[in-house]
Amino acid sequence: MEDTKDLVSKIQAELQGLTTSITDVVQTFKKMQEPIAESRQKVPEATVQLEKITEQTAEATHQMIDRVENITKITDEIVQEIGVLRKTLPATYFKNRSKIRDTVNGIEEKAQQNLDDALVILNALQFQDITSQQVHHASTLMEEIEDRLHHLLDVFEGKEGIEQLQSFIKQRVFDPNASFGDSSETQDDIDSLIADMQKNKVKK
Amino acid sequence: MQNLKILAVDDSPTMRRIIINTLKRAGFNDVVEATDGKDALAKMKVEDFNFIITDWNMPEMDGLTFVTNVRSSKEFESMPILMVTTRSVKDDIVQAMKAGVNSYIVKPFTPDTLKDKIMQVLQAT
Repeated sequence: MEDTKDLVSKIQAELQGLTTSITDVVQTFKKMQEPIAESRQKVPEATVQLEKITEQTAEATHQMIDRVENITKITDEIVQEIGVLRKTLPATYFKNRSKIRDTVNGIEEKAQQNLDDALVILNALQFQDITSQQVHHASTLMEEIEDRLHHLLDVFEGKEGIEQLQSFIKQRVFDPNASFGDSSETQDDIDSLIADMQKNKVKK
Repeated sequence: MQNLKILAVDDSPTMRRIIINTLKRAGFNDVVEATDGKDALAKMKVEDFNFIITDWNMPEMDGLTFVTNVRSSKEFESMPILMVTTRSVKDDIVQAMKAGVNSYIVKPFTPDTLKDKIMQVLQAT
């Protein structure tokens, strides 16, 4: 009889300890809920900021393209005007005027150099398309985290299985591996692969 | 080169402007732009083109579906198609070639690469 009493009090003590532990765990969960909810709320703010970066970068890039197009147009006109000048002047004009000839040739060369540089600047602006894809990828990853945090909060609040999970992931089109590196090596590899495929096609 | 009418398909307005400017500098002045595969197919119904440059990742209709659509038509089975994309994974390139692209350029490209590939495709087709 004494043994049974002892056992009951031991079980009671264990149960009390267990109750305290469960209360502690619940309290810890409650404490965790707030920062999780806060983090979840911050994700949309972050994605909005990222989208703003994409928009503003695109806008700045278009302004640069406008300027490059303008420089190209004016420089083309300079080259054309030099051509007109050469045609207008008699063929013998530059014979005894080497300084004028060298100056005209120099202007033409510099204009051509400007056109080449303008094309290099223009092509460097491809970074905007590539970085916008990288930003889209980052936004999608953040929305995936938002989804998971939302799911976790539902579990804490005992809503799991009651409500259908709302998805916060927006549909975006991007290449997750887009990168702005030196693509010349990659291009060489691609050319070899295509050449091999074409050879095999011919053999078949 | 002057008689070549090119259709440039890319959802990025930046890329379309870069491609068009680069093509013009290379002597290809007749370029029409489309924002995705669907838009490109609509333009091909009302205008004649001799060459297509297309991106892969695009909304509405992606580049691969667009190329498959073009190749499925008897009228366009020999249309030269150059894919210009950020996708450089081997499987993607194989998939694009199987779908019917004539050549493939990875972004960011250089003006010389674009011009050379167009000339190569034109010589081969």
